[in-house]
Amino acid sequence: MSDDAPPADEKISLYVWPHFWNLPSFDIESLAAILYLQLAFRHHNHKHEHHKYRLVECTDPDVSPSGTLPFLVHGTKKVSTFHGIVRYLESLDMGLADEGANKEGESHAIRRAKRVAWTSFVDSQLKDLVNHVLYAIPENYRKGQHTALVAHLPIPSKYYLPQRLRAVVQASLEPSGLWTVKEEEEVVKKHPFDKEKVKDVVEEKDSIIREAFGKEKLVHKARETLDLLAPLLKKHQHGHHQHTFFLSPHPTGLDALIAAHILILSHAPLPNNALLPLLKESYPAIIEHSEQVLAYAFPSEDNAEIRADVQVVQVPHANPVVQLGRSLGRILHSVVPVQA
Amino acid sequence: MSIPMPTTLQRFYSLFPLHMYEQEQVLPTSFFFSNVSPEASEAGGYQVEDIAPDATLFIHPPSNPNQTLLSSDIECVKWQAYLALRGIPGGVKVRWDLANEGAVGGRLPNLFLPVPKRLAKKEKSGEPSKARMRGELLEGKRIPSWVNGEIGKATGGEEGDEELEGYKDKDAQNESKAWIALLEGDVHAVFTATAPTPSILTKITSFDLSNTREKPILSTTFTGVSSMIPPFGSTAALEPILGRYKETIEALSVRLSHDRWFLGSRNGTALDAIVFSYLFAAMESSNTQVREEVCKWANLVAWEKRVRKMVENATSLRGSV
Repeated sequence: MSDDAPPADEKISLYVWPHFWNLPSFDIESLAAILYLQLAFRHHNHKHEHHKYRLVECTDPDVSPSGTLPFLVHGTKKVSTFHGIVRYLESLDMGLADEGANKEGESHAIRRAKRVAWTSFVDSQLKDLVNHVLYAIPENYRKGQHTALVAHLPIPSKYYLPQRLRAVVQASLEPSGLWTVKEEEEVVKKHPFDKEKVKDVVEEKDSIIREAFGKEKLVHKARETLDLLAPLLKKHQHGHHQHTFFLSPHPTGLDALIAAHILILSHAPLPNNALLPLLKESYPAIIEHSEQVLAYAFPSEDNAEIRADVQVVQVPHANPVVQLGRSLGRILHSVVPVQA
Repeated sequence: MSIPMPTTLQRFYSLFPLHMYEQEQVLPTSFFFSNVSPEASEAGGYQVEDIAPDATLFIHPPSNPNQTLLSSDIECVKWQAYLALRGIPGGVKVRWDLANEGAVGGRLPNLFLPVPKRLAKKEKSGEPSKARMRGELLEGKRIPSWVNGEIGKATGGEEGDEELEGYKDKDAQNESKAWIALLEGDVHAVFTATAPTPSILTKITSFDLSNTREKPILSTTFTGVSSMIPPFGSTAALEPILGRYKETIEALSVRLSHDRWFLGSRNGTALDAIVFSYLFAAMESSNTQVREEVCKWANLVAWEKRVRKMVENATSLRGSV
């Protein structure tokens, strides 16, 4: 089965979760993919290899072959997950180049190997921490991810899709003990005529202590993770500018991934965010790096000629009948083996 | 006034004899600390044999006990390799007559540290040994701290060495954490995704009482997540998982290049044990793609062979119970 690469003039389409707050996407992996593509294409446009891509804002994860956004479509080829997208673009020579030796004299291949390890570390440890802040703390989830999702989803999806997505995150946080939601905390006084619940004083003190311990545990875990990432940040001099990137003298996929996590933490209006003060106090370099990557990826008006050429499109959510048909089709497909 | 048991009943009961096993000695830890005199610590004389006589690791049974003593479960191989590579003198004995549910923490492997017989007899004078044999069963998580403590004292290394757990320097130790996250995340997902699905008969007849949960791998539900039908079932998204696996193996091979141990350590470390266990599992896997990916890299194959020999030499089967 030969896999012919699509012709170079085929447009690349990146399907992501839509924008919210003042970020191109409210989902971590989608934001990382957007940052990567922006950086890569800006890098290539700078070298006068003109590339364009299409950013498709999508709210239906079932469109993707792996069931998660982001995913990339190039001709007939569909690639999902951030790592898959980075790998694919590098195979087409459209990714971020990382040539030359760095300060420690490490070769490009060793740096690449280290990058694979560190991206996986970020994917497991840092993502768990950020997901805990975004999904496991009820008031954060209500004001943060839930609001963002519901703003873009139509009826009836907006009544069940956010809970299902939250359940997926819950399943990934439970093994590491980072899911600490208790069901009764979720009850909010809905009806204005409901009588105020008379809480037991002891119960309230218990919940305050529990919350304080939970925060301490979270901050402690975050410190462990960030203490391992902070030493990787190195300053490099390029002409008049001084840049800081992780591991390499040039921006790479690792920078895009870490920046996406930090940007969501700092830009989302979360009422109970214990990690942001920690970052501002002990790791300001990491916040600065993420803002720098965002500025690099989306430069201001005066640098318009080295901006990536992107066309933004919105794909409407499929209507329920179509979705039902699609689901039944998938069930049939898995039950009845299709002869190739 | 007791009624004697009728002989028929006695004969019937003799068909089901009651076996009594000798009780394993469990002594409280404080017993040892009071025994250690200050003169002994100055005189030194800490004997290497005191560390771990008869330390036994309870593991999952190996797939072929005649050929190899390495377990068929990745977690057990990890600890077998760790104990062998860190240099427990006298090697480690293994046995597999304990089930997962009976283990401490609900998960094999467990390390059993018996009390040495000479310490059990209090009248032995001479130099009181500093051995801290406890007659304990340690679960997986507690093994490294025990090893670090005992090995550090036996080899007489400086304080710094013990801190670094065998790595070259602090940077290497930090990097090892990233590699461990990579192996236990992306590579482990491949094994979960390509594990052979058990037949319906085995599913019905086997009890799985384990309550340890693992991180879920990338998978789609049968019906999709955004339709009105509640999602059920799951199929692993093999393409991204295998793609990432290929990237990982390539990175491992490049990072190892021609070193003797990963990250240039002097002797085997925890990272080497974990890498070995995953490479071993990949070579034994029934999935051709998983196996071939490792076979592509000659340095990894040679390294795995060498370490396998080391671990097998250090492991021995415990005598009959």
